[in-house]
Amino acid sequence: MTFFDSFKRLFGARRNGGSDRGDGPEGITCLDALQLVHDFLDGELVGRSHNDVEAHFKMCERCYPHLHMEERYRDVVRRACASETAPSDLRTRVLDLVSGGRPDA
Amino acid sequence: MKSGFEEEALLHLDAVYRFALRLTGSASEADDLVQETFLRAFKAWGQFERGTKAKSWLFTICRNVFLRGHERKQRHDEIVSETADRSGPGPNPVNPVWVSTLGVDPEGDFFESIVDDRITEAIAALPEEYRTAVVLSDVEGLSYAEIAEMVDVPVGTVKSRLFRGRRRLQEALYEHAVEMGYISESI
Repeated sequence: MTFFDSFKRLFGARRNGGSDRGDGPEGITCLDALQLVHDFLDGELVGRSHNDVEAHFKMCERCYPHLHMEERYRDVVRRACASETAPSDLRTRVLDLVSGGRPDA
Repeated sequence: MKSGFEEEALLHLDAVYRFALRLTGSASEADDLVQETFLRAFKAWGQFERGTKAKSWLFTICRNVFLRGHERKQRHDEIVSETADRSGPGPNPVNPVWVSTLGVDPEGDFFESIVDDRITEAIAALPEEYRTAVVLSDVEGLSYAEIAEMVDVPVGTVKSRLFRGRRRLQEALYEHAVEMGYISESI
């Protein structure tokens, strides 16, 4: 059993297991955490909200897999797109365009 | 060359090219779009406020050039459906794609089997508003506020477009993975 599992068993089991609303161990509900998953991963949460959401995902075995899937999705999209670079002849043409000293419009 | 243009603007050539590729869906069109973008940026360089992000500024020019060159009927349809969507109950925060996936592939390893071209095709199939939001956030790492300013909509609209765009893309990738047998369909 991991540390988080034991922690959850001791402090979170009743609240977490008892209701469909899914109150998590860190005060915010599962619903709140899942609603904030994008804000959290996009770096849009600051301070306490960020920490609360992070703590919830660390503790909650129902929500954590959803965070993990969102991370896998982002990784694969970035991998597919971010490796593309401008062809060298385009680079040359753009450099020619802007070094030709065209006047301001 | 005008002062600072090379250091601040040309530095983002690859990023602008990637964005142009996503907008146009073709290498030759992206090529033209990038040249036009940098030409306009160069001409307007005197008006660019130093200290603001050159990358977002270039993306804005790039998108404006692209949109001007296209019939935007699709845009109208999409905005109508976006507005209609907002009047209903809020979207379900539990992603049905993950619910289907978690039972059969809890680590999400199926993503690794999907080839890059299939992913870029799935992005290309998104409506432009969703595609722009998804690419700027997921690939280029722009903040909601930066995207909102770029496309001239409220932050809430950016969030809604991101949410819907990501869901559509995730659904498309999941369906592709099922078709290809990378993942078995959950019962």
